[in-house]
Amino acid sequence: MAKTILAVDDSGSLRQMLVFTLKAAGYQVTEAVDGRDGLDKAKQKHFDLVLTDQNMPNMDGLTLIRSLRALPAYSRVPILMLTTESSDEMKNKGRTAGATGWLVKPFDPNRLTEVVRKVIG
Amino acid sequence: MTIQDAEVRELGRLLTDVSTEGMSHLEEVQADLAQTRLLLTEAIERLSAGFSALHAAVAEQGDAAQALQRGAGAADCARLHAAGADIEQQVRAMVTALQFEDMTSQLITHAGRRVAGLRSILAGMAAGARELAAGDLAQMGRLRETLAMQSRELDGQLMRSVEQHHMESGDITLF
Repeated sequence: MAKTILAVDDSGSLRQMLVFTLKAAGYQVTEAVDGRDGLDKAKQKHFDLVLTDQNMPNMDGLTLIRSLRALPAYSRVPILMLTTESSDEMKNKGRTAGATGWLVKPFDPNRLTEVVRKVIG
Repeated sequence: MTIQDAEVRELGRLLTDVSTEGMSHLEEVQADLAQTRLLLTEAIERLSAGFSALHAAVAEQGDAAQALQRGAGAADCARLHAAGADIEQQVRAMVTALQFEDMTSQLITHAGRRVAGLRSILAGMAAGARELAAGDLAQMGRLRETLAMQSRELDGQLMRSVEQHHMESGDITLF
């Protein structure tokens, strides 16, 4: 059975590129339009990986990560941040919040697929 | 120095502050727009190049497929395989380039918020200026303080989140 990924980003075009890339690699992908939508969907169904943007309306990525880590079902699920933010300060905030990794946009499809395979197979 | 001289000097300082703060914010807007233009230009160059390369690869694939149908040999199988790999590579490159919309959208929103913030500051200045014109000279000092405070607040609300000046794929860090 294919591994499932929740892709959270307020940019429709970015989500489209993520879905295209990850489906081609054999994963099932569910989209969420912001952190609040992502949290709601994560509570309704279990995902093997969460991939989230940082700067989103309603709930940002760091807040989403902290909220997911507070849920027993997501205490150990890999959560990757995919964002334009590249400062060490933000990366440290991500690590402290519970992110598994930090990917800076734009992503290369091959490299993204490699990282996803590395964390969830 | 007469009271009038002092007031004129204070007015001069106020106008200088308005000009300085206003120009500073507008320079940030210019920087956002310049960065947007760079990213858009590069994205369009990459997409155009990718489109041409994709077109060529699809044509090559078609030629190789036709040769195979005519009963050609291993060389044409290799051409077909190579054309397929080339198509995949070009599509991957275009996926990276197509992400320009996300970044430029953030930059434009950032610039728009700064313009809106500056507009709000200047509207506040206009309200204070009306009281000044009505004779409340103490407004000058208050306006300078308010301008400095609101300008700092606006800067604090608009931390830059898009540093990319090129469409090269970004770093990956696993913790």
